[in-house]
Amino acid sequence: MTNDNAGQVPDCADADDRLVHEFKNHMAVVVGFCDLLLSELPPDHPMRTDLEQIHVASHAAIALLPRLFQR
Amino acid sequence: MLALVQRFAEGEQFEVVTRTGGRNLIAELPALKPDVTLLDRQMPEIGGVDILRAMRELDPECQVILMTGFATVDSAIEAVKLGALDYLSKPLDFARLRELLATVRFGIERRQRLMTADSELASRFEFCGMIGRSPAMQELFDMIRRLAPHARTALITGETGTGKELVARALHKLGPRCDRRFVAFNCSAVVETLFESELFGHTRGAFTGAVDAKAGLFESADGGTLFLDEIGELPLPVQAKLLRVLEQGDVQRVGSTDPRRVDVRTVAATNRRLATEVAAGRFRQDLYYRLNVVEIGLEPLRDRREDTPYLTAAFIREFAQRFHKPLVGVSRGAERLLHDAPWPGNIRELRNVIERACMLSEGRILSEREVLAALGGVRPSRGAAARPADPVEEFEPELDRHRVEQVLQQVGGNRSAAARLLGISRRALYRRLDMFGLR
Repeated sequence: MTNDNAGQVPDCADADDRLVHEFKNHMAVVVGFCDLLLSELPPDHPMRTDLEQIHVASHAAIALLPRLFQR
Repeated sequence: MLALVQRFAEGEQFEVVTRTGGRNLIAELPALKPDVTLLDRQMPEIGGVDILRAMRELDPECQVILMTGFATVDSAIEAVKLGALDYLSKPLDFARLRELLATVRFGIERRQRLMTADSELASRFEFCGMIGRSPAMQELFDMIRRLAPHARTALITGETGTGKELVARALHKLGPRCDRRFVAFNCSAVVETLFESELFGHTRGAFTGAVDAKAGLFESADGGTLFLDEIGELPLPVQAKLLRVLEQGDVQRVGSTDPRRVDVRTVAATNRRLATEVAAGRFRQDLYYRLNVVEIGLEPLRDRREDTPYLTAAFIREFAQRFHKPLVGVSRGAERLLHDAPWPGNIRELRNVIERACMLSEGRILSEREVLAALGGVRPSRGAAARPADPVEEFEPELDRHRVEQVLQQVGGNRSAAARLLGISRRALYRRLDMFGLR
């Protein structure tokens, strides 16, 4: 942070919170549609395994969030 | 996100409307009338919690579910305290959301089932247009059944709006004259000078304006039933003539001395206490005894509150159909309001209130707010202190100074008893005492 930016630097915590929130929103959509598809497909559908992978990976990404902005 | 939730909710058989602006939503609420709303907590224009507050204010019947990326125990408690049905964190737990939507649906269906049940019972306990499950009403129906074949004269007493005309019609319909005419006449609706000519008819030229001979109501009702409502309003000279007709069985048109035979069953009704009127010299004792050979007393609605749900269900069904409204039930809060209201205007007033509420309503469940508005915004409380505009006063115009003095005398000055007898609260009585300078 230089003096040039002194008056414009936003509070770091707030900016981070907003980013996390936005990110989570996007992830919620990914996970949401994934879960919706899983509930709409018959139990033996070939695409189920792929969807389940998406579900697991998305939740893993969300779980990383608290650690991302630790300083 | 909206698309996701929409797809899910439609899958749960809900009709979905999506909006992105909070302020517009609040303005649109009365038109949309949602059963349940999913709100995001964090939104640019106006926060989810503020919308939640506004919605609980505007439409308590609508359930609200808050969604958020940041769920904390405190914010969850805050939301639920403000009236949210639940607080979900993202990514959404669809199983939980499914449960919540099922709860909402169940709530509506339950209200619908209750009203259907009440409506069916209303049909079962209906008798000649009157509805009543209470013992008082069952006794009344029984009495009507027993008296209808035999009674030639009858006197029906009860407060305004308790269904006196319905009883008269029931007596007619269940009696031997059911195929003949039923003529109704309200004695308070006629100018004193025209009473006689209305009831007994007149000859041509009998008085100024009598261009033709006219048959009176007794002649019109010949062979059938004549219903004289508010008989206490009849002036004394007319009472004498009426007595003559009842005793002799013939009428004399005004301006003629020729008697005409009539065979009329006379049913009279009053919301006054005729015995008191007789004692005060305003009503003929012989006429009173002639009329009250059979006396049928109608209970005020507040003495049979258990009938309110059935009456309500029947009226809602009627008006929902008439106004083409999707109403299927009434909320618990509305039920309570209707049950506790004082109903000085009795069933007629209840019917008017429900008609008004149904007219205003846009949803499927009649809400407390809608009923309160129809009640004129005055929340009833039983036996509580009087409010600035005591509704009783507007409905009992015959509680004049004379009457109040009379009753006080009757009860030996005991104000509680006097208030009870007059059918008003003690506060209302004191106000009158002040008004009339009787304190």
